[in-house]
Amino acid sequence: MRFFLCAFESMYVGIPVDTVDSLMVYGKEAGALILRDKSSADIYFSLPLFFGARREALRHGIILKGSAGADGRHVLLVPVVEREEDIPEEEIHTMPGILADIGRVSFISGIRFTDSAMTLFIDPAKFINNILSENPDALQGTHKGKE
Amino acid sequence: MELMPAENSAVKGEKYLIFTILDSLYTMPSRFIGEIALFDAVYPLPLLPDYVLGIINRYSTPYALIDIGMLLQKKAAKRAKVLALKEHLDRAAILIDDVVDIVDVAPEELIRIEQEGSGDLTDVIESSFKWNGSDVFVLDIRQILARAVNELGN
Repeated sequence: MRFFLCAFESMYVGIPVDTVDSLMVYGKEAGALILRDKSSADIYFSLPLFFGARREALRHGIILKGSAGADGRHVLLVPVVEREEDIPEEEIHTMPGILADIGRVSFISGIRFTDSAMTLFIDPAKFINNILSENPDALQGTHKGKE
Repeated sequence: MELMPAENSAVKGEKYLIFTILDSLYTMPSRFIGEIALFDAVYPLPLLPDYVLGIINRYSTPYALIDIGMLLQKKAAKRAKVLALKEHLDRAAILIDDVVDIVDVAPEELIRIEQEGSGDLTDVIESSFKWNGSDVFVLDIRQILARAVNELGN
């Protein structure tokens, strides 16, 4: 399966390529976990803020498939999309039992360790459902428009 | 350090591994234990209870790391060693200070601990026994895992 691998401070996050419509250049810090662009209605989700990473420039946005429409597109903001890689299924481990199939972290579809780096593979649709249900008031923030 | 399961438990009871967490003595049957290793690194994940520290890398396989000190005493345990459970229980490990001893314990030596109510902390300690004049508390690892699943699900 092919993934976009996004480099974070101490790990990678893998997003399945087949869930992605396109990539965009962003180039700013995220002010909030979730932001809505008032003009386009697009919703931006900051992955580093969600994972508790320090505030850093978000160079790329990942525009998800099937999210265009009146409600705007869903865009995952990441520090950088480092590369695209084909990763065999046998290299991806499921979550430990106590963390698997639990609503709050069920968006993590697998984990891979290589050398000392961990990659968390996420299901973007589940991630967005999860983050919106955990933060029901978060859409009040506004975005100043794309660069 | 690989630990062998008790093979002759019918004769002298069951083998228990005694270890310390925050200077208290805890134990569990050695048949539940896969390995003890030095603590290396933990990858935190969001949205977990404070006693589930995140994921550790055991030979490229992810294990959930549980801090019993945080669960029972609301105080973070030392990040010294990890005790990984047998994989058939779950891919989970707990932080321990150090291993103290491995002992045979006969069933009649175990003192059952009365449960004070559902959700009470006593529900993760199933019994105790005396060792060198001190109380050693037997962790109910299945209950600890069930409790984490319960809390994560809510």
